[in-house]
Amino acid sequence: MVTGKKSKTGERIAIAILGFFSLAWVFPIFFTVYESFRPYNDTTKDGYVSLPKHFNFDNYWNALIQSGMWRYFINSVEVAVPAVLITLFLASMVAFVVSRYSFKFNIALLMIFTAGNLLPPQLIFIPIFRLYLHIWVPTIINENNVLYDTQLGLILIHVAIQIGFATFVLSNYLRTIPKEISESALVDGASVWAHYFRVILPLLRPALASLGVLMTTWIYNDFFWAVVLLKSGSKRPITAALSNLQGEFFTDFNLLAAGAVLALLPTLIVFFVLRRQFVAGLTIGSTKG
Amino acid sequence: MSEIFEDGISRRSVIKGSIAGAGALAVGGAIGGATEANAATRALTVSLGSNQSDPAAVKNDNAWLAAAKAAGFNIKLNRVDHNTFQNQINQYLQGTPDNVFNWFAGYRMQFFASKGLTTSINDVWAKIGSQFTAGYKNASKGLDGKYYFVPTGWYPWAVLYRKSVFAAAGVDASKIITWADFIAACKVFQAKGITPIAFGDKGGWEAMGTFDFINFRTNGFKFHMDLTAGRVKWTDPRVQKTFNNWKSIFPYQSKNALDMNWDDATALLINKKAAMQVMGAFAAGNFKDPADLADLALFPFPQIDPAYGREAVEAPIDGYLLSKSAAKNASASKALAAFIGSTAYASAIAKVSPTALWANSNMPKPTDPFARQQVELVQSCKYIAQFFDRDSRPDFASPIFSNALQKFIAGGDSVAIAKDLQAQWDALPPA
Repeated sequence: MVTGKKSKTGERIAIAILGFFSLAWVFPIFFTVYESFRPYNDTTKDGYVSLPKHFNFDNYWNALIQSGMWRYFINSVEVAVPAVLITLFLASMVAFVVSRYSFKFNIALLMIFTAGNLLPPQLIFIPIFRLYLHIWVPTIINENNVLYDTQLGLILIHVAIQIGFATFVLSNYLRTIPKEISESALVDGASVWAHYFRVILPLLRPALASLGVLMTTWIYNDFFWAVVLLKSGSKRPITAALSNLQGEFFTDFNLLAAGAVLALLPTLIVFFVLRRQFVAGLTIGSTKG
Repeated sequence: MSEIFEDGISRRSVIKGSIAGAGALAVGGAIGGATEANAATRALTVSLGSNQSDPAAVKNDNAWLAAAKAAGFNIKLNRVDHNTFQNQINQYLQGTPDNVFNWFAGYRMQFFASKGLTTSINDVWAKIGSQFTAGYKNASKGLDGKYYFVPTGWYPWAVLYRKSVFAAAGVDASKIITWADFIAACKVFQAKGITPIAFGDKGGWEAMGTFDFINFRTNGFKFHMDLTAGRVKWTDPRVQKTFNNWKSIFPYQSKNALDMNWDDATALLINKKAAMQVMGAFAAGNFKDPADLADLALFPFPQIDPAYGREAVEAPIDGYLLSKSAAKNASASKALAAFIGSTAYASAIAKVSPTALWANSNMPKPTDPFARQQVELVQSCKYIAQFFDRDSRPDFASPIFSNALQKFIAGGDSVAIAKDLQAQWDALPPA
């Protein structure tokens, strides 16, 4: 009885602590959403912590249509979709080789791919910036003929950064799949390509889906590379373009709040609709490695 | 810098005949001989980097861009929000910059000019020079004496206040001349439960205005310029005099300065919760209600040492620079620079922003009372500073100096802060 009582109070304390922290986490988001529905004039007069006089969608309209934020959503899609597809395609190939063929540099190869992930982008952005200024691209892509300030450059850097983690996860996942399947494919006379395309890729499908969801949100949320590798305001993805709503002297924080909520929306939708894949993506391949 | 406004407006009528300005001449020169229309368009295609992201500034930009289009320019605009543009300027200029871009006068311009990241425009100044006073000419030159910059507009810093709040408290702003007058006024407002000085420094740069004023009021303009350029050490005892004078008004400043941006502090002024704010005149843009705006006025920052009186003011000059990429597109870029220097540029913006203040002497005097106050304030001053972050090394102003000021405002020891500032200045790579 005594222990039961004790665990009940312990439970209550745990709930209180958890409740406090979840409130602390959620509060800024709710506050942003709340302010995003209020006009600027109300909040300058009454302060941000006040009851609403007007409550409407004007800020959203202004952010999306008048400030033209919708165009930057398209930019984000143009970067994130190819980057994710290329990353998954290349990573699945490496994962296939390192998990199904044994050769001397097998482990070393996997380690190199993963180790690249450990370098923080702040450390490597200057060399990459310089590199991008020296890589030639045709005029159709950039009239300055360099990779700097192109969406292609942004896609490539995302592929390069994400491929390590994707390879690591996918190769771990492949190790959980019985080798016998591959062996019977080889017995049936499948070539390396047929083995990859017709056996391994279909098997990887659940892992690719989960990883795809995770990587889409990561690349979509990127701010750093978009600011560092793009100079043209019109090419920016939504995360970097959000600062377009801020001025030098004057910032309408209600409008900015609406913009922030809009930018947040795709991530939230992805999370709530594909929650299972999202969580699976985080834990995938962790059962055996 | 002293001569900027001395002969300014009086010469307007004389040069009125040439009001179409150097811009048109330059345009003619650039087209010169091109018979086909598309050849002319190609010749005048210029890329332009704009950091004008405030809604009002975008409106101004669009006004002059339309005028430039009518004058035959084909401008490829690249607009980036102000903060990102400032933070990325190093990469921007070393990467593939636009031909012409927004920038400021002062050390911050000379810094990039001396690194060869901009294109000099002596030939443009040969055309537009007559429309600018000597002060602007000096402000547009690099350390090598060549012209780099085309000034467009400016705004002063001062003590902003609301006439109605002062009247209700029985304080006469025109009588606040000395530091003692200023503190006495602060005490009146404090007794009435009004914050005497609205003050926000969350952004880190806002307090630089107050520092600059107290520093050149305490130690003189020359000392201030020497200090910002690193010719005098921060450990100099005169720096402590500045900090100590500042401390004497700490009790009258907003207590939560580090939680407020400048516009949060301005909101206190708008809501009559505070009496004054040391701020740039651009803060007027936040007074959305015309009745509030009509109530807004300014007075010069009070005198501290009678030897220096109120002889100096902060009035940063905005304008344009030509990047190194302009050298490859020289005739069109320089034609655009000349256009920007002409009254055609300023008149186009004046139509949508009648209260703007112009560098070009041929522009008419403003009629708005607050704008007139600004012109009079600057005309009464012998020296003009560009603001700390434009007068000092960019990499020193932020984050080093901005962080130091925030520490000072939070109650840090000013002697240790000054020592630390000097150590960090010495550790900077050679400019």
